[in-house]
Amino acid sequence: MATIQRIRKTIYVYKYFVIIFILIGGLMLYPLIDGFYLSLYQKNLMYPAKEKFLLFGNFKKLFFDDPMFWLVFKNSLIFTVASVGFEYLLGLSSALLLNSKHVPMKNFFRGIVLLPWIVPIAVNSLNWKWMLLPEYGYINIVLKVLGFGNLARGWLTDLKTVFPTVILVNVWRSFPFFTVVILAALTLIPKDLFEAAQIDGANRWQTFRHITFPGIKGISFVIITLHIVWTFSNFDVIYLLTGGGPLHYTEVLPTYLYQQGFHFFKIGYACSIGVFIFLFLVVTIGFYFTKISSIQEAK
Amino acid sequence: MKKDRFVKIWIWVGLIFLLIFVLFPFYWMFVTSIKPNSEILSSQPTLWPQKVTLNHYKMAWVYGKIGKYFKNSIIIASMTVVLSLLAVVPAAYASIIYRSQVMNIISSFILFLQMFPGILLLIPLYILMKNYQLIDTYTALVISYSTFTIPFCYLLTKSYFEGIPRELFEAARIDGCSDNGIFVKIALPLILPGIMVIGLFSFVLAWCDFMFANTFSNSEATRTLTVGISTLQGVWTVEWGPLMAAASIATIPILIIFSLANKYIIEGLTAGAVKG
Repeated sequence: MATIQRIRKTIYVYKYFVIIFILIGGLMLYPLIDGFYLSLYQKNLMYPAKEKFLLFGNFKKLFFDDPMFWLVFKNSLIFTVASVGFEYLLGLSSALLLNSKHVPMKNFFRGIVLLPWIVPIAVNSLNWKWMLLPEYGYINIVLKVLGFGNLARGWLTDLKTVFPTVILVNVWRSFPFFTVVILAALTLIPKDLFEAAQIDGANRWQTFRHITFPGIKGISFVIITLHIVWTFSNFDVIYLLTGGGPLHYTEVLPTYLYQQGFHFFKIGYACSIGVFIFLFLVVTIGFYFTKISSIQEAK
Repeated sequence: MKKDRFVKIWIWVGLIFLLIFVLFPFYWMFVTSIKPNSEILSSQPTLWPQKVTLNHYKMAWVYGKIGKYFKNSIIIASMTVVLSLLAVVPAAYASIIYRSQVMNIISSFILFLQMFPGILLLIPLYILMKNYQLIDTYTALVISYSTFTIPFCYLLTKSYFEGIPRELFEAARIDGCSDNGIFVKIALPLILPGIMVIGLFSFVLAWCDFMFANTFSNSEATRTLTVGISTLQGVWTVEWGPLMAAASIATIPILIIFSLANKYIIEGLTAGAVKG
């Protein structure tokens, strides 16, 4: 009797979760497991008959027989570290700027700044492509007018500039998130702390170091973590700006995965790249978490 | 006082620089879309067109089939809103009403999924959709988007329900109201503004996606606006006028939503990040 009642109660409670469980189970967990499973197989959509169990064969090929992989992995690391670093700096400085008591219409400016982040990447990347064109792009025209005509170039086709340019566009798109979230944390710092610091004769840097920064440290950690994950696994920005080219100069792991899976139909191999992205992120974030918490404990 | 003025000047310089940096690409997109071709491909482009034309919009909407893609995007995004609300709201309610250890675990698990990158699932999901013959259907996109909106929306809805005083639920229960009754009669009406915010979030997320739409739909029948813009680039390599018109069309709904609910979206965003 008791078990039946318990089952009844469980059904009673968890009927509210039916749709959420079906969606997460069917479209997140099942595909995730399937991805791990497929990564152990040689599977090509073009030749279904040639399916073969390889165990870790795909990973062996990835790490030891695919020179492209290490190049792409390196690009992914640079892309992530540079993007998140500059996004944080730009987000922090613009948040400090907007938090100043001299800024009028704060809500208006805060709304404007968020625009690049909420507009579709397809739109943003097209706008930047247009502005970065070699001949009629506005950036080169401005450079010529200002007398820097020798700097003008096809920013997205020149091998020297393509990677920094892609990072710049990505930073432009993502820094507003940092601005808005840091700004929210800044407004939560009690005002009397700053007054007390002023009375004690603290200079700007000391005030920032001992009052402002501790107030935004926790949230900084959260948004940096989120953005490491999002940037490392971001497909849209690079696919839409350069498609990974020219000559794989901007190829990152997500675009490489897409290419293997949907241009060459090497499903198993592409899944092993996905598994690599997943494990790499889990290990990195785990390391980051323990490192940060051990620093905090030491204090 | 003199120092104050000095600070003010620098702050204004900073603000103007920030505004140009953020807004210029959008301004340039819009201005290009209303310029005649002769003013677009010029070595001395005008900052504001001498002659305003709406031809590019007509060309994009009709010949570029942006009108059709616009309709697809609206349908898919609206259906995503409905499905995510159906999934998230009852679950968030239950997590507040029946507090338990298991419930906490479920909640933190759903939160954790916020970090889950979509690219990992791209290929397994594609195979799944293919096996169930869902490629080139609205359904494939709607169910994928709803799944990816869940973590954030669940978190927000839960915080809205938490804002309702517990006594209200207790009082209703003493008056003989069932849990379902409390949900429909008391909890839902109270968080209605919050539900609108969640709906807008889901809409924006579905509207902006490119990766899933690009992979799960191969034909014009189900193509979304973002994918349409990217495929048009291949067709109209130098027709920047219509391309910018298409980009402007894709931006307008976002601008409308944002100007209506700017404050709530920012609040939700920061609350999500602070708690997540």
